[in-house]
Amino acid sequence: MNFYIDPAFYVFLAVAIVPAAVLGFSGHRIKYYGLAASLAFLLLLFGENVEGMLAFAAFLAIACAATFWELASWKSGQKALWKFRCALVAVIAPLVVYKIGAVFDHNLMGFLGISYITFKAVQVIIEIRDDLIEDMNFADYLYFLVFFTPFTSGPIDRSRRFAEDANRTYTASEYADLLARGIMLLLVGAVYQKVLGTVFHHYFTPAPLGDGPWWTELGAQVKDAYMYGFYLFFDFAGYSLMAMGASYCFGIKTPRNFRAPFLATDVRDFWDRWHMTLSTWLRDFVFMRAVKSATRRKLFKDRLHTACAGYMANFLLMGAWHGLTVDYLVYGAYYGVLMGATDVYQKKSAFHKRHKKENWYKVVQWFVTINVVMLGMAIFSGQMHTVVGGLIHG
Amino acid sequence: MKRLIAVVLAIALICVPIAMGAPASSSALEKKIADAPYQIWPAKARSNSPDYVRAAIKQRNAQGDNCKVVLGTSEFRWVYPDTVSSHPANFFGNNNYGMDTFLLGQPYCQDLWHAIEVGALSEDIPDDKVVFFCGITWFMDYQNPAKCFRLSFSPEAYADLMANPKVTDETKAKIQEKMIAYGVEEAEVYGGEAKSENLVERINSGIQEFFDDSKNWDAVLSDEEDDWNAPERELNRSRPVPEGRTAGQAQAPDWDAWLAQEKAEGADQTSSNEMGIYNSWYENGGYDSWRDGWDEWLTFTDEPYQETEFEDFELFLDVCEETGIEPLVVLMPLKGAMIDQTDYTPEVRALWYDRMKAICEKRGVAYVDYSPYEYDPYFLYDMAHFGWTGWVQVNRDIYEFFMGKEGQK
Amino acid sequence: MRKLADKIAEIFFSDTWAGALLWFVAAAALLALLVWFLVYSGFGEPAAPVYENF
Repeated sequence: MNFYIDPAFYVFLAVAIVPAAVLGFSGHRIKYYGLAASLAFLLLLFGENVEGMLAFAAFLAIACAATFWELASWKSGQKALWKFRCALVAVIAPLVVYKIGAVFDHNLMGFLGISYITFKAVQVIIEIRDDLIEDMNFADYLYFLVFFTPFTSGPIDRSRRFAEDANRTYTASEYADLLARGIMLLLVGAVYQKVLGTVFHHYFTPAPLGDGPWWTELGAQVKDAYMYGFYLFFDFAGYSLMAMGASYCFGIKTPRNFRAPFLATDVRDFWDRWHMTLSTWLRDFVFMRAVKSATRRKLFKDRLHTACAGYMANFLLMGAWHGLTVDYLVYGAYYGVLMGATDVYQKKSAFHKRHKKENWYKVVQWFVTINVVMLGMAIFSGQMHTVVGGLIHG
Repeated sequence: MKRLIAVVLAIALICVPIAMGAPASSSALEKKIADAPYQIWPAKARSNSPDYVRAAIKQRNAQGDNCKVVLGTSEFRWVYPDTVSSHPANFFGNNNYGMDTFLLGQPYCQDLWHAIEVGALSEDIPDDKVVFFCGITWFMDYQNPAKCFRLSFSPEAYADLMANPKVTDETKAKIQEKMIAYGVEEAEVYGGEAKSENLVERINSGIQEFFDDSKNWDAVLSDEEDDWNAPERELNRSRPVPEGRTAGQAQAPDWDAWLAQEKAEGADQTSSNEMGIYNSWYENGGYDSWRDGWDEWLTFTDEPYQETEFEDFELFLDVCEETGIEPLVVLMPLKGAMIDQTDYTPEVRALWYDRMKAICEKRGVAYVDYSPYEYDPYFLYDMAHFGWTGWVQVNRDIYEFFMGKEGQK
Repeated sequence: MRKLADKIAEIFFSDTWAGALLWFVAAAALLALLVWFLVYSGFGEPAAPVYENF
């Protein structure tokens, strides 16, 4: 069963919400029911896909063993860094193997949702090392990993925030409000994903450059880039809203993933608004760490250079995560360069500093940003590949 | 709490009317055909769609037609350009005899097609009774039951048969074996089963069907059938239930008057020859080319009849028995004046009649044997299709099977 | 214009029956749009989600 796609999913979801609502209204914790419901949903997700189920079970076993092994070391005060490193490698390995296998069209250790569960498992392992997680209940950890509503494609929650929600109880009026918001988010998300996403996808008709005048050909390409950009936004934001909404019904306030990204006035602002749980995850666990480590080792001559290198590493990793293909790697590098360039421009340009508060300048910034973003969409969707391929071969 | 009440009310406002309206939309087809549910002889797209047949039976009977299912094949065709007045569409449609016939079956429909059809429709067959026209030519050595089945097979009817809990797994398995032996792809035969087992897929398709207003009925709603010629399109044309069918009080047919009328009509329409072959076919050289060509096909080497068709006939009776449908088996005759010239002499034909009668008797199934009419010139209009007096006799057997011998039920 | 939007947003997020009415209207409109689009519009199957593949 495909989550958020099959009509049956919504039927099961509606049925599953009923006991959650009873628990929620009566002031009981929903946690254990939510855990059981999640496991049932995952059984339905993998269905007759035994390979996927086994890969998922193997991942779960590895993640639990590695995490609690590391946690034991930290709780005992031993804090063995090699154990942290081993645990980190163990939970990242399946995703890396899977992504490399995908390059050769092989499905190795892959299962639906492997990326998002890996992000969550990595967060826990790193935060144990950083002493942010001093103790953790096994049921909380398991529930965090297997919670079904954001299982297949996020939003990527954080374990401490999640455990707080999972372990709390609500008053009847608090839960009623949460449930109402959950249902509304499901509806808005469904309209985004199923209606608007489908409409924009319908108008996304990429093709190599034709023989017409250059402005009509360019216009057609720009149109496709915009259509894909809106499609991707409504599709993914809609999905994320539905996942949020379903989470709310189970008393979990899964964080939002998008905040009007096309209103961004520079690419950094864009990434603060687009796929937010991924960009903050990357910021916390890749960018900051890379910058800290580079600063400590004095790899670059100043902070700006260090930041630029950090952006590059961060976004190359983001591109590579989407898939080890030329399009995604170029997409990552594109934003790596843009983020660095934006930083340099905003720090060094007197023109920027002089005008940044003025409205006309903001409008220009917004206009440049949205077109830069849509060019990124053209890279991401493979449209650029088609056009460039057409120019080279045609 | 206010918000929750608002949201729940909104859901109720939208969903309740849909939930109430949707069951009605499952009969969307019935509504679509309400103005013209009747055809003289429904063409293949219609007869191969159990949904259509159900809807048509329901609509016709709701409009007072009281139609009963008669299963057969090309004998439902109409003599062109003349009209045999006793053809069931005329006989029951233009007179109020209290009932009508639903003529179900196309060329190439043989025993296995009819077995599947009864299994698909058993819950919707009026009175739990069918008349079944069984043809000797289906069994003959020249015939190719596999090809006939492939040409007539209805996947929808097969799916409905498989979904009918009354038909035993054993019978279903036997039907599947025969389908595969006849060249239907295994994926098609066994493909539906895995699907129907999965709860998720059942819910998905259930919801899709629930909302499926867009199910495409174009094929069954169209009066045009590609491989039909103009006069046959006329048979397939949708029209209201004939006015004559419900005019005045229902009466019992005057069989003697009908016989006398049809003898005269038959004599008139076969005036060109002594054998009782209808004029247009005879005059256009149809008979001559038949006579010149029969030894190409009306012949046999070892066995005159094929075992596989007898097996299929038994399967048809199995399905009837399991679904509680009472059949009346009509053993259709051949025109003696024509067929005696061939390898299928009266003695060879008797082998078939005897065996079919033995099967029916062994299983306690009612049958009518028309072999005594093989030399009645107006019983068949050509080698194998009912004509003037033939239809009178058949109509009488149909009428008495459904309405009782006295015309009272 | 902005003031009106702010006012509506304020009512929408307030714990009042006027706010609840807006919730009712919004939910009914969204659901009606969904049903119309999926069942009656003939726009075809919704596009498959992208991010599940990553």
